[in-house]
Amino acid sequence: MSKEVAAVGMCLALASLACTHEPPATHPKVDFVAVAPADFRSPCSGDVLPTRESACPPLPAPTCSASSPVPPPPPGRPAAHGYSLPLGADARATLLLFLGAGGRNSNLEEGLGAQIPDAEKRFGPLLSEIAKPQQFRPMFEQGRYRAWFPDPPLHNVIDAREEQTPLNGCLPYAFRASGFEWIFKCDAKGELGELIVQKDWNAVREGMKP
Amino acid sequence: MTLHDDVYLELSSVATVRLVASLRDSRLNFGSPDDVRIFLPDMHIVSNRTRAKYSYGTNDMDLLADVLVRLAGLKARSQGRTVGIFQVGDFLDLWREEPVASARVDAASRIVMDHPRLMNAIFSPTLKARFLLGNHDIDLAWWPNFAAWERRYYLPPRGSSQASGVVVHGDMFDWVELTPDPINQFFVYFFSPLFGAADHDLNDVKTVVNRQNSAASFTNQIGGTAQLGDVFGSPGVPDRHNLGTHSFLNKARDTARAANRAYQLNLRFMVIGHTHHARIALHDGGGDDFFALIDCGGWLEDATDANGVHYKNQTLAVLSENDVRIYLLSH
Repeated sequence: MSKEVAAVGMCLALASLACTHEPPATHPKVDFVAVAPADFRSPCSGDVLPTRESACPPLPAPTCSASSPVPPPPPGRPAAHGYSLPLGADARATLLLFLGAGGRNSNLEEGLGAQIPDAEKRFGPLLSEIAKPQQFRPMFEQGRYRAWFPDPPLHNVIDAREEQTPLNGCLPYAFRASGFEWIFKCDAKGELGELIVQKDWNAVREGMKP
Repeated sequence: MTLHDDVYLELSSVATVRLVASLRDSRLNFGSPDDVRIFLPDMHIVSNRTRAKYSYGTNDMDLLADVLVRLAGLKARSQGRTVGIFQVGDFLDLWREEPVASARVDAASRIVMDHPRLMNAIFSPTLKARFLLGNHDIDLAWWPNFAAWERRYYLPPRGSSQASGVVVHGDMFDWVELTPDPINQFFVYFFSPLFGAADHDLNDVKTVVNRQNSAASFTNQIGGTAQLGDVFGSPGVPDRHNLGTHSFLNKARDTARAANRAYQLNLRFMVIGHTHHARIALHDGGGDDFFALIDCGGWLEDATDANGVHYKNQTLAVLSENDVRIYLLSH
């Protein structure tokens, strides 16, 4: 084989590799968490969420914590609701109801009752941990939450409520666990100061892959 | 006026209402007067084009739409009370509609477009019906529009987080010929309160469903004529009426017991569809040894009562105040 032929062959092989549509096996999977605007409405936006004492609508909407730096979404615009970190008692109770209802506000609004009967047992310790004052980012980096969030975090969070992804150098942390997405978002101070929990529809879809 | 009265009034404003079966027992543990659950069983709706190929199909869709509109009105007026509407599976019949499995999801659009009045009524945001996947429409799970459809709903009594009942389609109890035991195999899929690894069973469940459906012939019938026993039309409802046997009773009871142990539930009854033969079957060994299987029937083929009178098979179940009733509706 002449040097010219070998060189052409090498070029073709390299070109073929460069043009392949298949990523190499080690290519990281691109994944993201989308904050769904539907089926998770803010108790501050006029929608009715029951209190801990009674799951029977209609009840007055829980009052937003005065310490909450997270502004409520515009009235009438369905949006995921962020809870200030560390979680307050009201936020913990509301989140627990939401989790117990299987991640569907409509189950709460209609008084259809719990779909996860032992939500307190399953999620209570995690919510109590999140209610403690702490710097969440180093806690995640040290693996303190690995018992609840065993999979690596995702940082690619697309929040449908925002005009664009905030470019403030603060990476959000999102975890998928137990059928929910736990999204720790940055507050105005650049700290992980807001928590959104939503049903992980991706988990449902994953189960449907052939 | 109880919620049972309210529902009866709404139904009787658009239909002749006959009682097929009833059970009133505090051990149902669903006693709130402010909570009613209404279960609409198998409808097997197909497109007009497909309907023309079969000698049987969904019965009176106008009546069904009327019923749904009345129930939505009741729900809208019942502020502060719970009016939960559940479609128990096999809402659409994709299996008969489209023989090519990969085209079934698209076929759903064809069916929906052919029946706008009924679809508007059942998808009404006021009615807010909950849907279960049945063995004839399990393919819908692969379509994002239907991703919220469930495999089961727990039914906790008002104010409690511990379910005393559950509603499933019921086809799993029909898989007896299959090995290994499919109920055990898919137990987590059907009953685990959390999504998780169990979701990965959906493909396997679909495989079982396909195998089961393939072994059946739906050419001339699915469930055949429903034998309803003694039906009557007066509003008086006895504590126990027409309690019968059901081949699924023991299997459903065993499954509920296992779910109680595994997931800290307190299931005393199960609501199913699938068979199209409305009936209530009861295991009552006294005290807590109690389990009721409520089969709410269907909306296709025909039914006959104890006197041999034929009706269109059009039934639904209503549960409130520890009192479950199955009604047959006619125009």
